[in-house]
Order: sequence, then C-alpha cells, then structure tokens
Amino acid sequence: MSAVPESPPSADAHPLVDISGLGKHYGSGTERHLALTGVDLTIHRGDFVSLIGPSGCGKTTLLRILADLESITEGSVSVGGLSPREARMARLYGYVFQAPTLLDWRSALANVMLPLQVMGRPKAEARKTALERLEQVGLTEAARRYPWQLSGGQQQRVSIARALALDPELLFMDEPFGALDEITRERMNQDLHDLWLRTHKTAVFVTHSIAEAVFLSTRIVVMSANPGGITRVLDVDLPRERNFETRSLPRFFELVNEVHEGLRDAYAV
Amino acid sequence: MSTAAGAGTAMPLKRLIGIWPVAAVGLAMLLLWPLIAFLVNLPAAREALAQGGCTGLYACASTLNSPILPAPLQFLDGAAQMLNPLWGRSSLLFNALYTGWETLLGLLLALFVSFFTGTLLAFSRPFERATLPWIVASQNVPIIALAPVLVVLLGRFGVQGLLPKALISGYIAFFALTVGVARGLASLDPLRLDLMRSYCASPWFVYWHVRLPVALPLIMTNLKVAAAGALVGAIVAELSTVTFSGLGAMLLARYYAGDIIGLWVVMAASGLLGIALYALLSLLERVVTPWSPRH
Amino acid sequence: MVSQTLTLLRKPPLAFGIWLACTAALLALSGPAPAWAGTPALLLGLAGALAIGPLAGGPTRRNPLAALLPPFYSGVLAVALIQALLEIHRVPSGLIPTPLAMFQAAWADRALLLQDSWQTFVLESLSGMAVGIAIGLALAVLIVRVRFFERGLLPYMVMLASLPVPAMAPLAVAAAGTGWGSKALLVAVVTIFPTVINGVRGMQSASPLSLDLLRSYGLEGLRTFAPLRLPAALPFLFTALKIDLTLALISAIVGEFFGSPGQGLGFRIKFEVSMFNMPLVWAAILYTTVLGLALYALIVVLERRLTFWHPSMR
Repeated sequence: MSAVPESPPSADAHPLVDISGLGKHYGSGTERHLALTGVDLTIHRGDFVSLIGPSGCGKTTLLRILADLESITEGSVSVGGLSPREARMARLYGYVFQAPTLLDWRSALANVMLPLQVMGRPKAEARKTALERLEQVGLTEAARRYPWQLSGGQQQRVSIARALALDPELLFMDEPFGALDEITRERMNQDLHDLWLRTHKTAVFVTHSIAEAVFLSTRIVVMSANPGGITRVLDVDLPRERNFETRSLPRFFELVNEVHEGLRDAYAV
Repeated sequence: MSTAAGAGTAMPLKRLIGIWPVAAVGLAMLLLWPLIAFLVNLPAAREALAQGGCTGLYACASTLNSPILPAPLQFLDGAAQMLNPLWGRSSLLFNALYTGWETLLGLLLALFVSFFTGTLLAFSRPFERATLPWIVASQNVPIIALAPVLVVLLGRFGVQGLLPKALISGYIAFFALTVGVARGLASLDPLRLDLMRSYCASPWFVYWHVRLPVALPLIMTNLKVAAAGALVGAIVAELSTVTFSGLGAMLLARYYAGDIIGLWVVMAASGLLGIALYALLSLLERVVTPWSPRH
Repeated sequence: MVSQTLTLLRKPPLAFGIWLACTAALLALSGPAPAWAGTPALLLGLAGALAIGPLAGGPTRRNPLAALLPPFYSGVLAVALIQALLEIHRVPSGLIPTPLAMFQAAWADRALLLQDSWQTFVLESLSGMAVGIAIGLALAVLIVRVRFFERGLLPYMVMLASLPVPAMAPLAVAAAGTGWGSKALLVAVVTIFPTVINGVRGMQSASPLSLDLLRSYGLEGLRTFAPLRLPAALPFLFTALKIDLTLALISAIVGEFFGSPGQGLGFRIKFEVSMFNMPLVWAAILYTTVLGLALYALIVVLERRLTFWHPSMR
C-alpha cells in the first residue's frame, strides 16, 4: 500500500464517504430478505472505487443507498459529511445508470441541460455549461442529435456528461458500460479514466468486469452474495495514470488474478 | 451515423417499388368492378329486360335505377351530381366537411376532459381502481346504442345545432382517450424516476418534462383510434337527430329515397373523410412529437 | 387523540360502514323524496365516494375478486345516487328513467328483450363474425404467403378498415333486405379487415430464427403455419377478436337503426325512443352492455388459456 506511486493528495482525516455497520433488508417476518449486512467502507477524495461481485451481492443496492435511492435499515452512512438524503438535496453527486436513461424528446444537449434546468439556471448559462460537458466527453458535434440517432456508446457518454453537469464532487456509476461491446467498452474505459484524472472527481463504480475494475480503480471492493457483504478490499498499486500499455503490465495480470481469487472466495462463502 | 443520411437517399426508390403492387391490385379491382357489378345485378337486370326497358342484358345491368352495386360510370355520374353545386348545402363536399368539423370538435372536447380524468387516474390509485374497470368496459360495449337516447336528452335541454352531435362524437371518443392518457402518464421507466429523484426534481417538473412527453406518443396513437370512433358517433348522431346537414343526414335521405347509387357515393365519401382525419392527426402527431424517428 | 381517529378512519371496516350507510341512506331518500333533499343526497354521494378511497387503496391483493370490489362499490353508489337525484327532482321517466325503473323493465319484458338479444347477438353478430373471421384468416394466409399481396392488398385492407360502420349500414339494408341477414352481412364485411391486419401482423411475428430452425427440419412454406406461424399469431388474433366483437355489435345495432323486422336490441332502442318508453330503452341498453361484456370476458378467459406463454399474459 505504501508503494503506491504518485499517490493522490487525499490523505485527509475526513473521508468523503463513510459507511459503517450498514445493513439492508427487504420485507419482514418470514419473507425477510437480507440484501446487505455488516458493510464498512470509507472512500477518500480522489478515489476511484469499484464494487465487483456476483449477481445479488448488493453492489447496486449499496450504490443506490449512497445516492439515497434506497433507505438503510441499520448502520450509518455519511456522504460528504451529510446524510445521504441531505447529500441528494445538495446535489453532491451525479448518477450514471445501467441504461443511458436519456429523455427521447430532448437532443443530447438538452439532455445534459436537464439537471441545470431542475436547478432553475438561466437557459443561456445552462446551455453553455452543457456544451462544455459535452466537449469533456468528446461529443460536441452530436449536441443537436436525438438519442435514437446516437450509438449506445455515445448515449452513455451523454449520460456521463449529464451526471457531470452540476459539477458534483462524486460520480456514482452503475455498470454504465455493461451493454456495450468489448471494443467500445475499452475505449470508454480509457476516456472515463482520462476524464477522472482531469476533473479530480471521486468515483464509485459498479461493474461485472474484472479487467474494467482493475484498469479504472484505485481500490476494488469484492463483494459476496447471500447475504450481500464485502469480502475483500484490494488496493490497486498501478501507476495513477493508465493507458493502453497498462493492460499488458505484469502487475495488471497479477491484480486481475487477485480479484479473480477474491471472487472465487466470495462464491465459496 | 450515416444511417439517417442513407435512408434519405434510399427512400424514393423504395417507395416506387412499394407502389407498383398497390397500383396493380388497384387496376385489377377497377377492371373486375364492372364484371362483379354485372353478376350481382343479374337477377334485377333479367327482370328489367323482361319488362323491356332496355336492350341487352349487360346494358340493363349497368343502367338499373337501384343496382346493388352500381357500374363505374353510374357511380361517377352519381358522385358528379352530388358534387354539383360544389359548395351548396346539398353538396357532398359541404356535408363531409360539416361532419368532419363535428368530429374534430368532439375530439377536442374529449381530449380536454380526458386530460383531467386521465391525470386523476394516473395519480390516484383508489380512483383508478374504482373507475378504470368501468371505463375499460365501456370501450368494449357498443356505446353507440346510447346515441339515440343522448339525442333526445340533449334536445330536451335545448342543446341544438352542431353541439349535440359534437358532444355525442366526443362521448364515444372519451373512453379510448382517457385510457390512453392514464396509461401514458403512468408508464414511467423506473430508472427515469430514479434520475429525477437524484435531482430532487419537483412533481410538477416531472409531470411537465418527463411524464407528459412520455405519454404524448401513446396519446396521439389513441387519438387516431378515438377519431374513428368519433366519426362513427358523429354520423350516428346525425342519423338520430332531425338535421339537414352532414353525411348522416345524406345517408338517411338517400336511404329513404331508395337511391343505392347515392348510398355508395356517400359511403365512399365517409371512407375518404375517415382517411383525411387520420392523415390530419398523423400530421399533428409529427408536429407535437418532433423527436420521434421517422421510418 | 385526533391522529388516532384519523388512522381509524383510514381502516377499511369504518370506510365500508360509511359507504354502506351512504348507499342505504340514498336509497331511503329516494322513497319519500322531499324536494329539499337534493343537497343532502349530493353530500351523501360525496361521502360515499370518499369512503371508497380507503376501500380501494390498500396494497394489491392477489385475489382477483379484490380487483372487482372497487368498481362494484363505485357502481352501486353511483346507481343509488342517480336513483335518489332522479326521484328528488322528479325527472319524468319519459326523459331519464330511474335505475329501478330500468331494472323493472329489464325483468318485466325479459321475454321480449331476450328475443331481441338472440336476434342481435346470435343471428346477426356471431354468425356474421364467424364468416368474416374465416374470410379474414384466409386472406391473411394468402397475404403472408405471397409477398406481392402483402405489398398490394394489405394497404387496401388498412384503408377499408377505416370505413365508418354507419355509412355501410344503410347500403347493407337496402341491398340485402331488413331481415337479420343484412346485418350479418354487414358484420361479416366489417370484421374481415381487423382480422386480416392483425392476422398478418401475428403470422409475421414468428421470429426469423424460429423459421430457420423449422427450415433445418425441412419444413417450409405452408407447412410452417401449423407448428409456428399460427401459434405465434394467436395473441394478435385475440386482439382482432376483441376489435371484431366491438365492431360487430356496433354494426348490428346501427344496422337495426335502419331496418329490422321488429326485432333486435338496436331496433328496440330506436323504436322505444320514438315512443318515449325510456325504461325499456335503458333496459335494452342494459342487455346490450351485460351480454357484450360477457362475450368480451369469454374472449379474455380463452385468451388467458391459450396464450399463457405470451409475455403480455405474465
């Protein structure tokens, strides 16, 4: 851990996200289903944390709890020093869903303007900000197109631009590239990584793909199912800046294997 | 990326290929028409020949006063007579427009009311559970049976002229429209709802910026279905009231005069009116949902 | 204390009591019917309607009967309210009959109305539908088999489907006489088009991969219909059947408006309206509605049985 080169300037005492003793169950009595139990996790500024695990391990539930899209049943969660609800009210985070979730009747630009409009920003200002965000994801030319005129990768880019619209400190992403083909996905990974480096955001990223997790993350949280919980947290001691060569580093393969083992243990539980 | 541009250039050729079978079948029907008319009118033609009003079986069959199926020339002649003078009160065009106007007025009324009902249905579960079954049921029974009763009622309350017919037409359209509005407003993708929740957007913002645009295509589809019902309602209302304008009035007049050629012409005009209404609403659909892809 | 009362108010037993009391009070009001009772009746109706809220608002219960209860509550309350208002305002029965008068007429003249129903539903609608659907299915197979007809014939079918029924009705009666045959003919013609359109759509909904699979077994052309195309078309055919039923009843009734040998529900409605015998008119409408819904329900039950595998049924 100490060998992390160019480690982030984030060793502050107050973590951005602090989860302790978190539990979540649905229903009650005999139909009670335990989705998450005993989750402890801290996320610091500038971290890129991936949640990985088998289906039903509660990784999406965990992300939704952070975003206050689900309530918790035990334990405590703080986001930016606030409760998840207060953090949502303060628009501390941007959320990227599994599907692009674009509004079909709005152009790419108008979709990115949506959160700014919710905040009641003047139209001209919202437009300017939205154009900047589209530029950040490399979609300036597509600004006037409607979602059906965009490819799957482009749609998800618009969705990321939209999550960045209010310039939030936190970026929550729930398998954003799950529906894309492998080649597009690698390209999106590189672009997302560059974006993260440039903007100094803190990201929490849910994924099914080990390679994706290793490539993007500074830390990987391996989770297990039934009941959902954390089995292992891995620090990714690759150079902070990643590129095409990163994928062929011996350390990359070692880390992939480590996550793999972690997942095997998770299944064995 | 290039699909949109590509489709634009490929369109005309595709259309030409698509048109020729339509044209061929149309031509075949035109050619078969005199033959079928002859066969259908054969018994009556035999009688006419026996009475000696005409010479030759074919000539008799195509000059009958009330043929079951008129020959093409008879039909065209009838249509020409009913369009002359073009703008007179007895002209087919005037009466078709009159009925079309009633139908549109009825649709507008129905749309207005169904927005209230549909919004209530979409937002109040108890209201939906208590009333939606009745509304869905009304869609599947011949509501048209009520038309004569409504005509009498509206007449007693002094509602006269265009209005009672527009009301009946709108009444028929109301049920299909309400279901469309309610389903459209209620059909919200859960992820979109989460998205709006993550922005803490107000319910009004969600209604105006998300629910309504989601509902619009469905409402437009239902509007086209409802238009067909509204047209039926308008014509039946005209049949049931004492009225001198509209296609329904023309149908009654031709029916009592035993003018079958006239009935064929009015039927064709009603069909054209139905198609015109459909085309008008399709145009409206394009205007209010400019974002939807065109094929 | 207040909040306790409020939570008690939300409980179904009390709501049910209020609903029952309001309905009973409305029915009681309609007996002596003093003239000042209009406003109380409206208030009772409002209270009863509000009571339906908690009765219908509970969590979704699995019991299908539970789905029928809220419309039952609202229906009974509406009938009671209408009964009371009509009695209180002394609306002449030649204008709007009370629901009670309608039910009385429906019972007293049941022999007449059942005969009318037989004429309208069985002789005219069902027989016409059978012919129309048979022709429609044959045309659909033809269109699916021969690409030329799909391009050439289908557009005409769509166009003909938009012909308004009442414009065809007088023609049918003038050409084929006033007997039930003319209405059956009209029904047959009208039901062809939805059957063709939905039938074609359904038979074409068989996935290309499934067709390839059958091809690998050596089944092609007409032999794909029995194992694949017809089952795939079933959900669409049920949609067609529902449209056909509605259209058939409209056609039969509007056809009877023009001419009928003194029988049929449409004839009954038209004739008795001219006699201002409104209770019987409404009784005929009641028969139309109840029988129409029963047939519709039958189709839905059959649909559930036969297309249980379709996503829309799960």
